[in-house]
Amino acid sequence: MSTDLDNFVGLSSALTGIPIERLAPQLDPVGLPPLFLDYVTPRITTDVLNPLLTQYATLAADHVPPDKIAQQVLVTTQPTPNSVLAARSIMKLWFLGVWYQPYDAGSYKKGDSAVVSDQAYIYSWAWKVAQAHPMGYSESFFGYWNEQPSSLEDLTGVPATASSSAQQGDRS
Amino acid sequence: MNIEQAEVVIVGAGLAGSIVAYQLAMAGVEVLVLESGPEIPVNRAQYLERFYTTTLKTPESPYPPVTSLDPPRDPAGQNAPRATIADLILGWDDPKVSYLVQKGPMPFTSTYERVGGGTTWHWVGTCLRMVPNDFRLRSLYNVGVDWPIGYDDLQSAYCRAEAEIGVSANVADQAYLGMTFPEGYAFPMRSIPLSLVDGSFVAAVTGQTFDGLPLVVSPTPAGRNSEPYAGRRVCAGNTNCTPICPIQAKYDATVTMNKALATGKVKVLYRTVATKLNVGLDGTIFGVEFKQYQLGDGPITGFGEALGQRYVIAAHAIETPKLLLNSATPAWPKGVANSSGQVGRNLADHPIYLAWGLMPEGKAIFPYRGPLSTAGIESLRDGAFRSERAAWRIEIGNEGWNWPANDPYKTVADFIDGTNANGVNPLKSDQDPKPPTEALYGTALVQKLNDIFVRQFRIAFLVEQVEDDPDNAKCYIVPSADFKDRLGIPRPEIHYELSKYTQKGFLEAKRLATHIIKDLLGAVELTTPLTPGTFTYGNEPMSFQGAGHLMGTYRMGSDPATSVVDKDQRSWDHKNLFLVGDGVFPSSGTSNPSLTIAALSFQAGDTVANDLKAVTLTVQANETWQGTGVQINGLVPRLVRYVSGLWCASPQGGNVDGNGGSRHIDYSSYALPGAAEGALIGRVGSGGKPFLVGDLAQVPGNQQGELQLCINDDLTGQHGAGLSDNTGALTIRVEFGAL
Repeated sequence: MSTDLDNFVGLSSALTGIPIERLAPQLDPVGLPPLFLDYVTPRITTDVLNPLLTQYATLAADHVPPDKIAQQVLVTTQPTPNSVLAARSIMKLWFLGVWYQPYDAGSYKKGDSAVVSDQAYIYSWAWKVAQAHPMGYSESFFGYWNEQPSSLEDLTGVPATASSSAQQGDRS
Repeated sequence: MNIEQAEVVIVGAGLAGSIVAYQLAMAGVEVLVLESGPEIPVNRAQYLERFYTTTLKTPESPYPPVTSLDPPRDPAGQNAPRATIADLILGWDDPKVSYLVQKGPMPFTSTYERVGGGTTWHWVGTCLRMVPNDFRLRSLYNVGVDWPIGYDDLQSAYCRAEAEIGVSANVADQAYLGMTFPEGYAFPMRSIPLSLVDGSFVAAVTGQTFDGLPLVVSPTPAGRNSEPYAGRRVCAGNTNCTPICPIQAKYDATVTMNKALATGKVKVLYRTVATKLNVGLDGTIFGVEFKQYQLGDGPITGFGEALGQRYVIAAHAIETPKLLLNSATPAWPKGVANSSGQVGRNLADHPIYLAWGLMPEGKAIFPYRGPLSTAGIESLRDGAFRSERAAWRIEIGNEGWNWPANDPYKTVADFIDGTNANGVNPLKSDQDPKPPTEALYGTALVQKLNDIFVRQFRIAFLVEQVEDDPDNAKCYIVPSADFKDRLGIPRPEIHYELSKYTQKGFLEAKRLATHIIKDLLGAVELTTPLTPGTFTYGNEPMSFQGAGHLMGTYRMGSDPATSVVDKDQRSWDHKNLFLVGDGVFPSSGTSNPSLTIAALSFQAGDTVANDLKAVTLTVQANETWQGTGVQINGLVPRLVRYVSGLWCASPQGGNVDGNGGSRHIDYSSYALPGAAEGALIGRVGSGGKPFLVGDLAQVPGNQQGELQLCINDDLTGQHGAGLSDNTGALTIRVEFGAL
């Protein structure tokens, strides 16, 4: 039986497109998934979180492909349901390390934002998606900016589209 | 009340103050520095952590006091507040949230720090020299104001500044628009490699022209290490020079201040805010009053006065005039150093025209990598057009749309939320019907974001700011009559408006930006005016960004009636007062100012050191090597200058000055065989290699010992009367300085 953390990581992976083993590596000294789960739980409330996790677990058990799961989670009506708003904030959290409070929940007010931790910033995925590094945290060496970066697939596990794949060899 | 004493009192521990302090300390001068902000931290971890964990990643974000949008901070409750981007966001013209009391009509959008090390904590590191014609706008183009000095007067000081900062560049890349370098000169380190973003510009603009002038991409001289230098690491391309280099591969003034402190000659009082300069009956400054605090929003914890023989105000173009004008008394009703009425006048920046775009599909340039900027287009910094409109340089950015469009944040939100704040969801096109806005997820989201991010670029035109009437400047700072900080010090009140000349420069910048982006790069332009710095010139709505280049307000000149300091940065009104930093710039020129600030600070340091420690002595014609008592340490450049007198080495040669006569004798018994007979010769230590002084020479570097001088003659009398028939003596001055 999967745990809330498993389902949170699985849901996050389906929403963001970043493979589960990259969001939550087996050897993970950084440990963002439990940090994020703890962080978002009171902020989106269990009333919203638990159904989201259950929905994911159910669809995953049925071997629904991740993109289809994300599609179902994000099905929106007017007004946009809190579950969708919460899912979008979870996506931004992974990409940016920033929590954008999606709606009022207790003392948490819609529109509040915060960087969850220095590690959340440093390991946020937008930078890898850009084939770059977080501003202020480079693990590369002098002059690397004159060279091609590693491929999108190497960095994120997601292959580039056909048009952006063609870019990888273009150095002009 | 605390009384502090030193030979020299400096206000400000930023770039200028640190260099002057270090120079003076190396000259053996006791220095006291008053710094309004907190001390230089032992390491930068706390500053870095603050940067990582704030959502408001502005240039000020790492530094105290913490900037915040929610809740806003009332500057009236802070002891040493400063201008911030948060102020501009919250309300540039609302003094309840903005430290600067802004009266408009346009906002002043540059910011600065008040901490040990000053604003170099978050400079980009650009180390361009001014081009020669930047110094003579009035005489060449009939606009602005000429400097009282020219490029050649700064040559050696530029070299010293480049050594101190540690500049990476190649001479061959930098010798444009009349810039020259000493023969054989090499920058301290090799040039920083270009980025892939730069490469795309090189390919696009090479061979192209704008209004008949060539478009040339040049590597930017940078105050960042391309090799290990001065005990600091090589740049790792953190793309974060502003707000903070995590590894100090980029120079900041804490480097120099720490060296100054290591001499044991310098004491810094932190959290010590200068409030008033006191003037004696003889017109000299006799003290700087200060107030002290411990917590940024806590009570006053002390007050006192710092006394010295010389005073150096190094608090840049806003805090320096604020201090001078706040020092008004019945005897000096216009404020200190202000008989010209020019203190606070001609406030300038390099207002920036920011343009950005998206490269064509399939054309990745991989931004967000490398230093923030590694190249620019410098070839349009001078030309006949300067009689009509402002010049500019173009900085090519390596940080995608981080500056103009807060990416990666906004584009990520756009494609998750299905919004289009950044204009790429959908990208504007001629397509009809317009493609729908997308809310993406999963791999398609990653691929879309990647496709956008790797094609982003921005360029920044740093526009020269020139007043239409420099003697009646529209941009100025005065102390506010209504608003004070927590210490009770009147805050800076800013009046700011770009001149028509500068606005016309913007119009041309816009024209070229669009040409480069659309025609030369084949990219989609996404430039839109950004608040709050908006204006309309003709029918063109445009906006400007602050460059953080605070210039003007105590300009140097050759006429006391129209300038505040002379070419040595000495107050015309108070002979023991020096005002340093880019406030002395009579016109802003077309280079980022820090290198010129540093160069001028070396010169000011020399002048102050010479006031206190130059040695005047007599050298006899009839004596062999004579000790001067001056110890040469090989680190501080020293000059030997002929002042007066004549001497005679032989009846045939007659009476001559330091340059000697017309006879050149090659006997080995001469002090310097082959040099002019009767010339003044020097050496460092008894075993030092003799060198020609003549009427002025710099003591050769890397030697240690006592400076000795003598006449060029047959010192041992091997070929005749030797020194015995010599007569006369020369008066010589041993100074601090470089040629």
